[in-house]
Amino acid sequence: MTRYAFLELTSCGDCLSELYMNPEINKLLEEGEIVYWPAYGIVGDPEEIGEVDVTFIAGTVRTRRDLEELEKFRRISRIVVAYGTCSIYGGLNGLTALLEPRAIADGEYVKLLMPTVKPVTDYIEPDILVPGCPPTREVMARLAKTLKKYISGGKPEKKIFLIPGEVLCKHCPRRPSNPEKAEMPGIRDPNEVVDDGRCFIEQGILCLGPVTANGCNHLCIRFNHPCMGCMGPARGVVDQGLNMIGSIGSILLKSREVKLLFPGLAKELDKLRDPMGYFYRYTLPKAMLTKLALRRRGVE
Amino acid sequence: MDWEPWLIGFLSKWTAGIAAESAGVNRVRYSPNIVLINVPCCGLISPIHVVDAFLQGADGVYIGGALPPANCHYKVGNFKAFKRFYLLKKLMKQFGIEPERIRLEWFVSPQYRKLAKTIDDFVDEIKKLGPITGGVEE
Repeated sequence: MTRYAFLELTSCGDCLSELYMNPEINKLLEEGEIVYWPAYGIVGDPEEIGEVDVTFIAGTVRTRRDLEELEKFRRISRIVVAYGTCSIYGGLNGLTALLEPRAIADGEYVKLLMPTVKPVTDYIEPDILVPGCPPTREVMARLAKTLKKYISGGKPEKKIFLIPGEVLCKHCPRRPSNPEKAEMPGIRDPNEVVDDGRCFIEQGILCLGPVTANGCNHLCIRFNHPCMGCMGPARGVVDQGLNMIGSIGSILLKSREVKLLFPGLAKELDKLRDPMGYFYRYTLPKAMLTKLALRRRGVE
Repeated sequence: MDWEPWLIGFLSKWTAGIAAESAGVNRVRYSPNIVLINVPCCGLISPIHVVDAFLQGADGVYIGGALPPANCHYKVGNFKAFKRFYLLKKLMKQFGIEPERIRLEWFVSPQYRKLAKTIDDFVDEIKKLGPITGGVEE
């Protein structure tokens, strides 16, 4: 009988519940046995559980206990699935990456926290990576298919990344007819969006599509909301924020820049008040500048 | 203090690059703390190159491009660079890294004295700011 473990580190707890509720995954779980899932009352000492076939991990490593549990389960499990954006890029939990533990907790609790928050992939090597906040039904179906292959034994030879990884804009329903001529006419507030099916960037609204991986079927974009980048960087994108700055530099007001000159451009760029919060909502712990800022604090 | 700053400079080869060459020909001295790299256009420098330079230990990055509006060889490269590094400076400020560590200067090709002077200024400024590691020895 296949033995499953559900490991929730610091997370909102939604990802794994949703995974459990998915019919295809649920069928697999019914045939097997869940040996560890503290959130649903299935507890036990990881030392005494013995070998586990598949461990689903969601969440980030924020506390010292998270790290202990994570390393134990990597040792005892055959296949580790890093599930959700938090476990791969940091997700929303990762937004505390630059805060000192003292700013988050009081008194003796400070000692329980790691010096910074990091995703699971910074500590262990998962076998299957499933990004998404939360992963969509199609991705779950793909996960069920992949797991069936390895259920009787063996493990993937190299890491399996369960989304295509190409840029979101490639198949976007709002893709402009001539992408090379696309121009951003200024920076506008998202609440000014008119749902006329035009590209958000062409309307002056920042959309992280140019740097984000496809795997969500344009869920937000189809419902008239610009991409927030929850799937993490696309293939070839080094750092979501820095690459996005590069794109904005290329297309913002490109036909009027000679008239506006530097002061005019600066005035327009000042309308973007919080670039860090906007560009790194889901990937702050993986940002190159975070690495630099943490190094100055003596945290590696 | 025996710490000396280490800087990287990216120069557009059509303007600042020529200025740097004339500075050599005319025996104008500037600080040896800077390593200058000629690039085809300052508009092709990605923010990733600059942050990568910081990660590898550069204490400051100097970028020299063409004086607007009409001196850029590729017409608009300097505007692209300005937009990128204006935003990058804002971003760095939010991360707690001094935005003064990036210096943008604009040239026409004969201004080699301006190049030497701004580089010396920049080195002095970085000396005041201290190392990029914030005093933590690696």
